[in-house]
Amino acid sequence: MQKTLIKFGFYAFLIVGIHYFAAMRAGAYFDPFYLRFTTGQHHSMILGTSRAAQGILPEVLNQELGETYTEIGNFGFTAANSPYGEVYSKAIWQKLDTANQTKKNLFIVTADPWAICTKNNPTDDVMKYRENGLFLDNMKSIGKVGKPNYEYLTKGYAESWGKILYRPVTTKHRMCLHEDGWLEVNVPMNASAVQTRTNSKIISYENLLTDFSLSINRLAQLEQLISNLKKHGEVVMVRLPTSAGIKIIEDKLMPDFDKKMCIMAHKYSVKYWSFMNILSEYEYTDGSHLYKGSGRKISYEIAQIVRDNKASDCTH
Amino acid sequence: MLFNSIEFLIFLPTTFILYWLLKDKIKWQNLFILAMSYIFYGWWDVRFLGLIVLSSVVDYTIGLYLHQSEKLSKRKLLLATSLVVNLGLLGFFKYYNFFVDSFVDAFSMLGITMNTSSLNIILPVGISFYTFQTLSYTIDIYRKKMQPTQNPIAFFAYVGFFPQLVAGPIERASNLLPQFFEKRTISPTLISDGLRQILWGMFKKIVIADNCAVIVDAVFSDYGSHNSTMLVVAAVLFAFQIYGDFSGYSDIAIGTAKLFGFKLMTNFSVPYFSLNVTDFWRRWHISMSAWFRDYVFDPLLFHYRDWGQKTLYAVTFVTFILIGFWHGGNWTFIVFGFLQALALSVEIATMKKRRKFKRSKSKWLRLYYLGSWLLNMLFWLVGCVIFRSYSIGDSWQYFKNIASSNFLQITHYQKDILILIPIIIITLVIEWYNRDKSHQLDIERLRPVFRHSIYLFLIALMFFFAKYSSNTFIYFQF
Repeated sequence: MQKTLIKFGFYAFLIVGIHYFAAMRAGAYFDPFYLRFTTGQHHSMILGTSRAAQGILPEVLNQELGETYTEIGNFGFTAANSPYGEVYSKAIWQKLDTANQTKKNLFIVTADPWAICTKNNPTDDVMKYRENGLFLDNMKSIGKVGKPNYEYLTKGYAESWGKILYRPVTTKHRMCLHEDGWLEVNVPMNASAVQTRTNSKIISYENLLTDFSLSINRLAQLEQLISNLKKHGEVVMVRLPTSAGIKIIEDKLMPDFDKKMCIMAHKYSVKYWSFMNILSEYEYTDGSHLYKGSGRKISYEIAQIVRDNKASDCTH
Repeated sequence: MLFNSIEFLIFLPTTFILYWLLKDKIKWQNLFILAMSYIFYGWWDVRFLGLIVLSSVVDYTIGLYLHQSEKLSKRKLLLATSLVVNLGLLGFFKYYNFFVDSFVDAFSMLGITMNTSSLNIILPVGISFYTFQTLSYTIDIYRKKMQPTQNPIAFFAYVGFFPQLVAGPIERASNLLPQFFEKRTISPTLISDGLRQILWGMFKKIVIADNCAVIVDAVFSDYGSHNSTMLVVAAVLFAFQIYGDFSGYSDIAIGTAKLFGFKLMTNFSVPYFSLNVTDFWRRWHISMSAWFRDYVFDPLLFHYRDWGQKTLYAVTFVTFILIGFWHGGNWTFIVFGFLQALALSVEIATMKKRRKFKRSKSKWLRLYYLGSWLLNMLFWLVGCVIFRSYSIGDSWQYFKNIASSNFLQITHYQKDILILIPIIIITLVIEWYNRDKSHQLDIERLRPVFRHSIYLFLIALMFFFAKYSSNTFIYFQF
């Protein structure tokens, strides 16, 4: 019996040991969300889906606005994980540090039609929301400081732990999640590669048109979020630009999206800026997401809007 | 809690140590197992406990009264009560919305619109399994095949026994319940064997099933966007997903039970090497098919035996449609069951000819066996597509897309498929090599260096390919 228990102990130690080793190695390159759960709470935040995650650089905002506003972090995920709703709101409140600061807090709330739509859910049943049961819904350690965050690694990380060890080598030049939450994506940006990715994205978005519909609940949740965030700082609503092809699809999905956002911004006395009228000025990795150079540019422009206290862009 | 979760990794060794500290104290061990089983089950949702307790109380009580009563009418009434309560619970939680929706659809076809609403009913995990388990108890007492137990703790522990509570094997009272009255023993051999079986089950679940699931889910949820090759590949991968998932769970359940000195029945016996549908159902989900054989097929066959050969066909259809329906409230499962019955009927009709051919020792025999196996697997894949589809319409469209699209190339997940193929082949080779053993990682006979190499190889595969984020077992939905 002793021999059996010793052998079992060896294997248990080996299994626990390699997992612990992998967990300690988890960092910026193996997963697009992990570091957001190891960097503690933020006073100021960038919110939204993957467009926000990739398209707005906290580093630029902090550099331009750091004298007036608290340090900002990026807390955008994907259209599957962080559309506006109870789940995302709950996660935001876990991540937000509401302790009083000498500087003001700033919240860049990005919005697009997909983030306030529901999928295959004509009755807008909240029980059928796509983010239900995903990691933002299940995690309790969202505001945790320090690595490793085992909760995310077991509930949110969708790959094998072995990949934590070798993925940084294979993806180092493709994806990097910075500690401030910005997801840097490096992909070939020659015209042919961009066109291929854009065409593929357009086809997949077109296929989704029939599945997605406006969610009144999500709209209400977004309103409530803005109303609550206003109590803790300044809120700026932003619609990030996309390529022309994606814009056409989004206009089909929700032609009055900007109008809805303007009404909401007016109601809560916050700014709303849509960059969709100047979308050709920017570079996109796939038509939907800003490439890092353009992300940097738009981050400067957002900083300018905030610093210069520019009025809402509500000419719709 | 899931078997492949951190909580279970803490739960199991804790339960194991405390359980064996109560060695030789059978009553205390039973009570402890009952408590831990309820903790295990309540971890899903504490409300579920009420149902399993209700089912246990009803059948324990009915069992006692059944044994005391000699009057046939009273015995029938008691049995009917057990059936109504258990099947009523199952029917309500599992099939209410199906019946409502089917009712509405049927009337809408006649041009009548009905205003009804489906309920948001949470399906209690494992209800299909433990209700059948308790029913087997009352039915066997009714048939006077066994006597009821006077020990409620042992009975409740038998119903709620955590290793097999949520996804089987569906244990018969005559097999499992007596073990709660016997002294359980543990030995290094039993621990090693149990842990090996758990390792094998975990490997099938978290490496094969979960990796297949990624591709299967992506293709089935958007089959219109994929070519024929991808659709066929997804169907094949689903066959391995469901096998890895379900047989993996069974192996973990059986291996875990061994750690506590219990012997559960074998639930899978290398089904993907079966040569025909009849053989397949003797190897796939054995506990369920045996349950339907003993409590549906055989009684109906006996009752209607005067109809002659027609009875056999009719009862086959009834049994397999019920088997299909057992899997869930969707017409896809009913059609799945119907097709299985159809194939079995063909095999019944051709049985004499096939036996004659096999006895003839023809030079074409090997080709015949190969052809039988291929046809059987092809039929199973067709069944898998229907089983996995969200609706009959979806499955029909899936087949149409296979036929109308092109077979040129694998367009997505090439790397994942390339990794999965050798892993699946290795698994099949191991399963074939150990097909006559109690489980497919029963490798005690190998030299230690080979045994430990295999363990390390499986652990390495799990480390590099397993997905740990909450992937539930498919059969939990049943």
